[in-house]
Amino acid sequence: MPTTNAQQAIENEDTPVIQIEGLVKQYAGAEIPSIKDFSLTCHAGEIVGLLGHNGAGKSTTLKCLTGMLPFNSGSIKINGYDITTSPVKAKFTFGFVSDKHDVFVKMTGLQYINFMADAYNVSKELRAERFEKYDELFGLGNRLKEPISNYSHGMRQKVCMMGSLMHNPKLWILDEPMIGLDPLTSEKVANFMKEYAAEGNCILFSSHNVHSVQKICNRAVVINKGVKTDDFRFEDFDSMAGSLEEFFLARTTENKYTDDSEQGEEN
Amino acid sequence: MTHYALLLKKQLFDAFPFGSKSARSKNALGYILAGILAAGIIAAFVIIFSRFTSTYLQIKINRVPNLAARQFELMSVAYFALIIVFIITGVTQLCYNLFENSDIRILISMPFSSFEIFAAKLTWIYIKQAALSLACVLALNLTFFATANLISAYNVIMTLIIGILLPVIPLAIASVLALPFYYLKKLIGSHYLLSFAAMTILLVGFCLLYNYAFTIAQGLIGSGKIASLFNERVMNNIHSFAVFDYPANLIAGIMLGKEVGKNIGILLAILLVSAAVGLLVIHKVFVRVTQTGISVHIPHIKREGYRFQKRSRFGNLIAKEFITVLRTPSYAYMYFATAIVMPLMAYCSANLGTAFLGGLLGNVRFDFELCTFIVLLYSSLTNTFCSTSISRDGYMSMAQKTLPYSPAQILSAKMLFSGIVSELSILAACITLAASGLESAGDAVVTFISATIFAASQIAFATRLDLNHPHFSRTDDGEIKETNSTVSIIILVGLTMCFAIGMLLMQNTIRGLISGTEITSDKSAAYAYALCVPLALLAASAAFFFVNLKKVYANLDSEG
Repeated sequence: MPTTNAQQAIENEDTPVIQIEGLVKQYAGAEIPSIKDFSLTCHAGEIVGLLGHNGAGKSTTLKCLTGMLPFNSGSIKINGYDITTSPVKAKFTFGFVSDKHDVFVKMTGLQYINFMADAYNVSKELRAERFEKYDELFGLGNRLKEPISNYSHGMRQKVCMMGSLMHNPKLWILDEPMIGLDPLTSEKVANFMKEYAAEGNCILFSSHNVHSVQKICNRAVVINKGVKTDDFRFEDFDSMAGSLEEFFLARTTENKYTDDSEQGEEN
Repeated sequence: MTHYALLLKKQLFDAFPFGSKSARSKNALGYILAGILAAGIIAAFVIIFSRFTSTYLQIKINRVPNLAARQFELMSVAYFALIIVFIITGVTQLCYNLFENSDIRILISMPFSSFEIFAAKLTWIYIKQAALSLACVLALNLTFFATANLISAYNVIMTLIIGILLPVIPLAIASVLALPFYYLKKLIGSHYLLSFAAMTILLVGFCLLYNYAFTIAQGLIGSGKIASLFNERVMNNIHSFAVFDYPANLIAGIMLGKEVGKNIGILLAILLVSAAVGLLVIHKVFVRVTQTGISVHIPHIKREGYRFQKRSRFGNLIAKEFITVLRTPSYAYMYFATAIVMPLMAYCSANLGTAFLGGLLGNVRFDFELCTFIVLLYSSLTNTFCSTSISRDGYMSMAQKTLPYSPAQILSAKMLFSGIVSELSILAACITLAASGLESAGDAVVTFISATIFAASQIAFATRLDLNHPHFSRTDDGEIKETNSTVSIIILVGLTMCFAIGMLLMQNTIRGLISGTEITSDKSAAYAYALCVPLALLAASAAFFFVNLKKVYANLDSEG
């Protein structure tokens, strides 16, 4: 039976938090794979931004990583646990915030947070303590007593973040986390991410927003058409010429423009 | 109106998705099964309505027959009932298509005028209503004219015309009621327990009324005094109503060739005014809802303080199922309310069945066989709800895959939740039947065990079938609004199995009735059939449930 504490679930502190090797994912009926030979290793303390255009394969990678979707070949280990052979143990060690929030809408915000805490077997005392902390961060207050169906997109995003943090996961995975958040909350979340990673946790989030990745992350991984094109730490990148935006566009748009023009001709 | 055809095509595509060959064949299977169910319902209607028509047309007032008046009354009242049905279905269709379907949010942001969107949606609603109307009017008229020996080319042609045009008037009335209904639905829907209690009371009331009416009808038919129900006072009231129930009286007049020109003229005028009113009202309401963004926000009752409860991990999943069902009025109605009313329905049916069989078989008792068949039948209909166990989760089914639960835990929580409700319902039904003396306590225990095993097999089969072919909703809250091929399959398989078990249980009776020999009761054989057949079904369902379970669950994709 997996333990409640993500820290205890990790057998060895040196074990990479994320270890993806040669991941290939091809959807049924698709002619080519959405993810091709994708490998990635992340460690505790890192904030990794997965950058890519729409349809580049960011969400598919995260879905395979979190066990939402099966994959064709390769391997995924989270905190040492294989997502295919030990899925429950692996899932105890991460929290995931999807880009879709139309879930659990019949519950109130409080019920959802309790549901998530129960799912990860968090004690009554710890959930009360963490709830206070995250309630202050996200500021939902009394709205937590309302059904989630009454929430705006941003509020749903916040309650999903709160729920995913209730078990203090060693790995926090977020799909497009900043979309729908107001500037003040975005700033608070960005600061919180840095503090959370500094406590020895790892954060992986997908985004097509270069600026938010540069502001929050200490490492960026660029994915284009399902292939990892770049993987660098910002401390190394600073020595390179040009901005991250220019670099990102240069690395990813050449093919994109070709595709667009082809599509245009078809139309 | 340049995009009207495009938007109408979109509606058509939503209704009949042209996916892969296998997807098309699955859809085709669903349509075939739905067609079989509809054919069964129509056949039952034709038999009952035909008998009622021949009885009604013979009614005399003060010993004076008046065939023309009876024909007119029957047609007029029948059309009135049809119009009421179409108003109700029209209101629900308008609410769903214009206010609840999430595609509206996307469509209004695209370069389509609100009138184009509205016109395409209204046309689609009308096409569906017209198809339903044509089926109903054809069944009604052809049964009536065949029974009354009035079939003619004129009647057939008018049946087709009326069948297609009839929904115009109910849709116009529905258009006025659609927004108030939508608001009321939202208002009641946010008070979950209140709406659940209201629906249960309505269902119990309907069941008692049905039992009362059926008992009276059975008594009258049995004694051959059905006509005495329609005494002079009742007939005068029916006639007065039939003469003034516009526009049903006009349609009845046209069908019977009575003042045809005048009736057609008035009906056309009503149709035109209705169409204009309908278009105007819905257009105004629609534009208001879409452009000013009316979203009925119901303030929630605030509770003081935060309460944290710790549940077991598995109990957590059961609680999630409970909340989802209880807080979705249509699910609560379909499941909890039906399960609560099931014992009452079983009692009413067993009561009527015992009286009927008593008259047919004399002193030979078949209480156990009858009660077991009835409990199986009703629990089978209650368990139909399990055929959307996976689909009703929508994207939640994907989110759950990222939580530290195994597929077995998630699916068994769903099945256990369904099983608990089903078991309580079956238990209450068996206690009711035993307490009312309709079967002995010992028999009730065997009935309970038989129904329990049968329910378990049905729940496992329905859950796995839904996992294989989930039909996810595209509405904001993921609520399943329409039935699908899985539901049709579960209903048909459930009913077929129930009737098969019923036939086995009652085989002595049936054989005796057919051959005219002495009818005897064999309780031991009945017990064996009641227990062994459900056990065999459970074994088959369990095998079906576990084959490739992990792989199929892993491939579950609400977006695929």
